[in-house]
Parts: sequence; C-alpha cells; structure tokens
Amino acid sequence: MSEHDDYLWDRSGAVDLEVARIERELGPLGWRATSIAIDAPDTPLRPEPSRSAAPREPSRWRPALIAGVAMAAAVLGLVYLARHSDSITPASNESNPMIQPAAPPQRSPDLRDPFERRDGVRDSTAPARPSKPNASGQELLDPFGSTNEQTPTLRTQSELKNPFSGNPARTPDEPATQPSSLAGDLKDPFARARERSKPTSPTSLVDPFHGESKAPNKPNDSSGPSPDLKDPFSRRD
Amino acid sequence: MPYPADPSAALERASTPAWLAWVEAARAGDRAAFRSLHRDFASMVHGLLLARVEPSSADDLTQEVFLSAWQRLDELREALAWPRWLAAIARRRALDHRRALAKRPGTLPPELGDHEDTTGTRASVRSEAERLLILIRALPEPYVEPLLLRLVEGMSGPEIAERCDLSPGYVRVNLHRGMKLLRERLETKP
Repeated sequence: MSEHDDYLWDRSGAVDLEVARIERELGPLGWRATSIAIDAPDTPLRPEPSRSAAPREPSRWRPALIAGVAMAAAVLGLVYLARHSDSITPASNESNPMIQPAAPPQRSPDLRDPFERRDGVRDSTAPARPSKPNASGQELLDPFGSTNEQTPTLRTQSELKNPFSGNPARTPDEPATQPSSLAGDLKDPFARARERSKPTSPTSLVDPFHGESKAPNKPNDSSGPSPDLKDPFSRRD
Repeated sequence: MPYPADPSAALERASTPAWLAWVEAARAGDRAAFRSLHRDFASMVHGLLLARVEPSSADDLTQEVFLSAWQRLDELREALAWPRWLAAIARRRALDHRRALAKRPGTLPPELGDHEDTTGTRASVRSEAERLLILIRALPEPYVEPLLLRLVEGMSGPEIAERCDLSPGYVRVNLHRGMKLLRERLETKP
C-alpha cells in the first residue's frame, strides 16, 4: 500500500496530485450544507402542478366505463320492469306494451260445436246432439253438450219474465214502469231525508238583501222591513 | 494514562456510532435530533443521488429523501439500520426521478444520455466537472458510489464505511480499484 493510497483512503501521507486535482474539479458539485425544514412535514417541497395547467389526456377506460354503466342501467331497468309487472292489474296490461295479454283459450277445431251459431249462442230449439260411439263401443259424452250447460238459450219474448215482479218483461217500445210498482215492499232508504229536504212552501225563499224569510201566509206580513231591523242607510229624520 | 474501569464498556462506547442516539431521539419525535442526522448524512445521500441523477436535481432530491425519511421514521424497526435504510430511500427516489423524466414527452432517458458517450466529450458537457462525473459514472457500479463520496463529497474512507454501513476493507478496495480504472481512462481519453 503506497502513500498515495493512504491519501485516497483517509488523506494521510503524501498528497496524490491526480486525486487532489479531481477533488478540486468535482468540489463544486458536492453537497452544500443547508438546513431542512421539517416543521411542516406535510408540506411538499415543490408545489403540485395544477391540473388546469396541462391538458389532461382522455382516459382509455372512459368509453368502456360509459358502456358498462349504460349496460348496468339497462339491466337494472329490465329487472325493475320484470318485478313490477307482477303487481300490474290486468286492466292496465293494455297500456303496458311489455306485457303481452294472455291468449284466449282456443278450442280445437275438432271439438267445434256444429250447432253453435257464430255469435256464440246455442240454439235450444236444435235437436239433441247425437253421440258417437268410439272404437271401444263406449258412448262418448260431449263435454260441451251436457244438460247443465251454461250457454245461453234463445227464448221468446213471452217466455221472459221480470226477475223482480214476475211479470212478463216489457218490450223496448213499452214505457218503463214506476219503481214502486216493481217492488212494492221495498222501502226507499232516502225517503225520510228526501222529505226533510223538501221545501214546505215554494215561496219561502230568503231575501239575501233583507236577511229575513218572507212567507205569504204569515199573519204579520208587511211589505216594509221588520221593526226590529233598522235600515243602516236611512236617515235619522 | 489510566485504563477505563470496564474495558468492554469502553470498547462498546467507542464502537457505538454517534448518530445512534439521534436516531432514537428522532423516532421519539425530536426534530433537533433529526436535523443533526440531516447534517451528518446529507452528503452521503447527495453522493448516492449524484451517481444516478443530474447534479441540478440532486440538491432538491436530497431534501425530499430526508423529508420522506422523517415522515416514515416509524417504519424503521432498528436504529442501527438507519444508514442502510436511508440509502435505500435515496436509491429508490433516484430511480423514481429517472422514470418520471423518461415519461415526459420529448425527454431522453438520462441513462441513455450517460452511457451513450462515456468519454465525456459531448457538446452538452460544459465543464470539466461534468466530464469527470460522466467518466466516474461509466465505471463499474461497485466503484461509483465510493469514488463519488470520496472525490465529490469529500468523505474519507472510514466515513464512507460508517455512513453506508459497509466494511472498511470493502470500501478501501473499491476506492483503489476504481481510482486506478479512472486514471487509465483519463490517460486514454484526455
């Protein structure tokens, strides 16, 4: 180990001129002692660049983010409609295009009633429907042709009766009968109230300017004002 | 000359670095102790940064390294690990600075500019100091930090070993090998 090496190690021994020259050249680049401000440790040394100073690049994920949000909104909307459709009344189904009305039950064309008219009313005067035996010889029953069927039957006007009075039903040209004649034993629940509200006399109207009712059959009837009332606009004399 | 009462205790006191008490006090929130640490270790941090960044940025980065260390001092588990911990913060901060420069539009990466021409004869080199700095940076990595701490920051070999938590023999060998290589390059590329 030479003396020059000692100078390089701890500056002892003979001075190495080459090392000393390099030290002199590089000295200005060294650390210049300054104090550190740690009283406000949260304060950055250099201010953060403001966002408005540099234009911000559009994010690559923005279109994907927008598409994702839109899809999520659409799915949520469909789920909401699907859940809400359970609570919608059938009457409001017509106004909701998302809900398809239930198709009416259709009869099989093989089971069409040959005696049924186009308007759906079965003619009761038609002869009884013939029953056909099947392949096993048993007689098949027409499920629509039972004796207790509920399809309306055609009746003549004279056969129809009023369900309340038992009288024959009136024709459309006949004038309507009074309600009292239809059900004589029924009481009008509003009769008493109607009686109370009925005016006793057609002339018992109240004069809004005199504030007193004038009845023509009153004994002390006079054309002038009541003596108890004074005309506030009349002069004292 | 009287011997100390307890030779082992005296030896222990002698081997205990002076900054150890400052680290303990700074961990307890003592700002004055941390300023003492800054005074003693700032040149070491500056030298480590000079090995990686431009001299114009090294001063500001040194202060940022100490501020970061002050804010994260509770993460330091052992006070004895303070030099190695501080050096790690400085090296990481220099790396972040270079990455940030490389991301800026229109800026060449600093490592590309340094290693492109190791002779220090670029047109952008305006002083002999910058040329020497480029030459030292072009040396093998184990030689760079000890040489810069010795030649730029003015630290002695024992100080370098203590501040950087390295063995004195390692520092001495690398100093002399690095200086020898630098001399050769200075002779071949004056």
